[in-house]
Amino acid sequence: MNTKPAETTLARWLDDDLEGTELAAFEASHAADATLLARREESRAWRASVAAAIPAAIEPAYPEFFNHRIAKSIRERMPKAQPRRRAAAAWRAWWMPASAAAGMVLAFWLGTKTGGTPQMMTLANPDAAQVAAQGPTVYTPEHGVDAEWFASPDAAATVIVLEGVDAIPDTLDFSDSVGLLSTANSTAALEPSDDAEVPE
Amino acid sequence: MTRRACLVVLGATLGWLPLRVLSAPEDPGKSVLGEVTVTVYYATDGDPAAAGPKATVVGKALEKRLRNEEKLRFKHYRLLGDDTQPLFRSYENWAQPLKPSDEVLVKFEARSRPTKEATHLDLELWLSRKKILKTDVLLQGDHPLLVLGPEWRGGRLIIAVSLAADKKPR
Repeated sequence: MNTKPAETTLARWLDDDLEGTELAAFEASHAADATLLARREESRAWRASVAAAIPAAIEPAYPEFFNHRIAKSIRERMPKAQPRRRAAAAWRAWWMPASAAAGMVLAFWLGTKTGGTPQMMTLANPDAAQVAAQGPTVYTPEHGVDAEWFASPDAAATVIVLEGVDAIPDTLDFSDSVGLLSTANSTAALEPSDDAEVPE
Repeated sequence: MTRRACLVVLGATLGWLPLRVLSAPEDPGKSVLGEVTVTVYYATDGDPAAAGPKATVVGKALEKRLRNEEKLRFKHYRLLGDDTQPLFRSYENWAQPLKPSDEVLVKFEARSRPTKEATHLDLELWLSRKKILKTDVLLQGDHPLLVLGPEWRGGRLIIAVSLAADKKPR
């Protein structure tokens, strides 16, 4: 007959955890076992000494802080929830470029149907006639000064008439103008050439 | 390395540097596209001698040309001065037709690439060191810009801007 107690039952008996019929049955079988009784006494003494050294409940310092750190660590380890793609994004990815391309084609087609070939004028290659027809842009920043321009076929020139300009003081003398003294043929710039016709 | 070899190397280096500087590529913006002439005339119905003894009488053809335009019609015209300056590709330039006086100054700059037929310019006319007029103008061969300007000694100044006769745009 096996009189050796089960390990778990023995451990519970040593911890004074058995109650009722379990305790009665165990003690009926092993009450005379002096070794077991000695181990129980030893266990009781050890538990008593531990209970005397450590208070029943010790609160950790700054419990909220530790709880917060633990919760944060748990959140970080958990996989992040992926933002749900909206259903509209799928068709947009295809239809937006397609509709843009269709719009460009339509605009090009409309362009070919409106009017004739446009006159292109670039800064690098101006159409002299077009620029001449537009005439100069005239701006007089000085207060009280006005400027009027017109193309003069009689003088074969573009003429700008300034009004309201302060007169140059009569005391100013231009007799020593370097240009006048050094350029013997200085009127050549505006003198028509022999084959040019000056309007009568 | 011998002393003579050192001198040879040093001489070659010192000779190479100036050559390198001289042969450095020029600023393309300073390439000359043509020349612009600014001329100042004195026009008056009074005594033309007021312009001074050195002012010269203009040619008959020019006189007729100016007189053809009613706004520019005066009895007498005298040349006061002129200045011809290069037209740069990217940079502005100034003409000072009455130098050493800076009473009349014209700043000009290419507005577009000149052609053989026409040159489109941005122009500023400065009188008495004040900007009086800002304009753009298309100069064509024998088609100048004439500005009827300020009064002076009983007459008025006419500032003409034209392409230099012997310097066609290129």
